[in-house]
Amino acid sequence: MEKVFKVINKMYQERILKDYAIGGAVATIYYTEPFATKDIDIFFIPAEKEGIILLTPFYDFLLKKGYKTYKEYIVIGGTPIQFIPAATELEKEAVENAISIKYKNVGVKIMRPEYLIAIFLWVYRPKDREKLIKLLDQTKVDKTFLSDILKRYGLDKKMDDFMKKYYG
Amino acid sequence: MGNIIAKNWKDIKKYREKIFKSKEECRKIFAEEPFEEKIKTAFELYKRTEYLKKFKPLR
Repeated sequence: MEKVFKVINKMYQERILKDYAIGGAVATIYYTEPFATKDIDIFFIPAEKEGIILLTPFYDFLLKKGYKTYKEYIVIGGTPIQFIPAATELEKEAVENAISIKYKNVGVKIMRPEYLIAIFLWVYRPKDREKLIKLLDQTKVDKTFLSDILKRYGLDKKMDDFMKKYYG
Repeated sequence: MGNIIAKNWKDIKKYREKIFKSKEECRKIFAEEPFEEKIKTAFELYKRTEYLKKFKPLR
């Protein structure tokens, strides 16, 4: 993990990764109890140049450094990393509003819990519902901020239904 | 995997579908690993979490 974060940090400093944020299970674990996940999801906003959108801006940089690929992953220090282009306005906003976290000399950007909740609610697979429950039960969430996100993306009704189903 | 480009939102969507399909395939592969491997992975994941929890938000 340390190696992964150092590489991400380096890519951000060198502007290879411009707007990015760690999302998915690893971001959830930052706010909740630990649970198993093997890969790290990094959401980024792909840049467009003359009508071409490069979905793998990191690829040449990482391969030159000797990192290997496995299926759609890049493996850094034994950890599979998935770079996911943000495709919805909600994901783009989550990336733009990510918080910076730091330990020693390593800083990375991570999605806020309110955006993770909205994204999991939008995707809504069984494993997303599990993460939703963890975040709602174990994290200090800014309820006003969350409510604003849910309303703007038309997820407020879905959230009400979810709360009724799982919290009575 | 190589450099991948898109010309429009539809291409991005297609690429994302490929990513998510690959993620699910990997989950199945990990689930079939021998028990000893899973235990080893669990310890590695615990170490990873310990490291992650040391990070603090920048004010």
